[in-house]
Amino acid sequence: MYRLLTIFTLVVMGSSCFASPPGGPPKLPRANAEAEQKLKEAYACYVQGWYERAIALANEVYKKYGDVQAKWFPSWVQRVMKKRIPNPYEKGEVLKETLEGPFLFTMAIKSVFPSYLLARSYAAMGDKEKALLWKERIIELGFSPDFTLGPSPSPPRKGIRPRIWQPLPLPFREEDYFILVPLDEACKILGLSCTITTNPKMAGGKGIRIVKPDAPNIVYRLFLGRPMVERLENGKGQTETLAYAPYEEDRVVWVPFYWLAKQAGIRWWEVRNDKIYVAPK
Amino acid sequence: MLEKVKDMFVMNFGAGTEYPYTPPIIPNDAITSPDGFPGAGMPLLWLLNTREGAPRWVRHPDKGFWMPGKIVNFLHGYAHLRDVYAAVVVPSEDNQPELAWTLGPIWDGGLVPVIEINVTEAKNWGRLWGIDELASLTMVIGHELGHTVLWDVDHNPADDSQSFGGGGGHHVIGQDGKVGLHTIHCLMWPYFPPRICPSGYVLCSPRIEYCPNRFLHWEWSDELQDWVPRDVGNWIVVRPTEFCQANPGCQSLWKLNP
Repeated sequence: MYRLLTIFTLVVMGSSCFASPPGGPPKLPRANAEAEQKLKEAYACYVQGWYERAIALANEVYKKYGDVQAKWFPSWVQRVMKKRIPNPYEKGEVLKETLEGPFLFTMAIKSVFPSYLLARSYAAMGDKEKALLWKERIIELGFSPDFTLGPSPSPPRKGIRPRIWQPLPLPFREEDYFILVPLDEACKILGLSCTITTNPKMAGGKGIRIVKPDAPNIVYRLFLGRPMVERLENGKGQTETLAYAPYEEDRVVWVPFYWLAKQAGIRWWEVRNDKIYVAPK
Repeated sequence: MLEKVKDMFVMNFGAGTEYPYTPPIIPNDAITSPDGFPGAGMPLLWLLNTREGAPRWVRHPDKGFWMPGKIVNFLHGYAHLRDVYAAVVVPSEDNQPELAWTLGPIWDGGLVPVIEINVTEAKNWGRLWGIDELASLTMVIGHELGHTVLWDVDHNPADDSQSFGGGGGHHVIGQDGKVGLHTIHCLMWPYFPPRICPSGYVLCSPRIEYCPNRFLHWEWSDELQDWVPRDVGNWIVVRPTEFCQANPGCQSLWKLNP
């Protein structure tokens, strides 16, 4: 309640008072509902390694509306918060809720525009020329040139698409275009070692540890309702972001498949006929 | 460590929590480690607990307006009761692909000194230049903290083409892609990290035409999916830890004087 009185002024302040980069981050036009959905799907496709689809969707939005910006809170945020979440387009509201409450809304927010997705998707496909063309466009919009296009959250996809695929006997659900799977079942199938224990000392109330068989000295810790992974090696921890946070429902822990697949060394996977198919490593 | 001449207070909302355990996204060391800001040209940073302190409007001593702040009673009311203000640092995924941005000066009652840091982007970009994660965060945070106090300073008003001062907040670079009056050793240099290519240019980039040899100094990386500096060891990569003394230097323009 009394976190910081400065917050009061956030609601009334304009967004014209940014610094670094000069004049602040460029303010792009807000995406309409149609563009927002397409960009949302394009983002999920990019993260999950389906770069062609991400490019097609982002291109469609770009051709129709130009560089419009879509912002949203993923569905897991509502599951975790169980209360009204701020309007993602209202900067003051997002910051106010972040500073007043126990939850980092600023970390959970998703914010994308077509050029950004196009540059990164082309880069992940190894198409240097197009990646740089779109990066140039991002800089022309007023963003600082000091940023990298990669590495992408999923492995780069270069070369010929594999011809042999096999279905995984794994249930899944789709949320915000992300494929989520039950962690314990997925670990068994993918050959990862996972433990899930009740632990009130950990954020989310569960201790979730994942170890890869070929790297037994590295432990990955996941946290329910937190879009991050902690990588522990030799007692040292490093965090990295997750594009979709794990959550628990009816005692099942759901996690994004793209991240598990990457840990299991799977480069190609896709969903067809209500099944997840993978190309053998 | 050299004696600091000024103090500044910071709240780190990316520090994580001990109970229940949430890992730090922005380790407190990125703000308070003496390795981060060893010199006297950077204020001594004090961390305030993000959950403590009583809110209060504080009157600016010179300008007279009211500014939002918190009272922190360091010794539980027995001694040293002191009004302080704090810049607020939050990790953010908004406004990508920017590395970081600042929303307002620390001394202005109408705005708020909130700094948003895109941690992943800052780490990735720093790694490109051989800078480890903590040092990358230190430099980016130090730069943004500078904005909160140097907000209205136009360092080089005679050259508006290169000066990002005024409303943008105290950025200055040289006119020809080389080092100007301002120094690249200052935290307020607008590019992270400050660097000089083997041909002597500070603005050497595949997309900027200042350096005639730029394509000798950059190469495409399949791993990072972008242009990366070729042979970083041949570049001069500067790691500023304080504000410069150039005339008029950021050190002397620092508005805090507790």
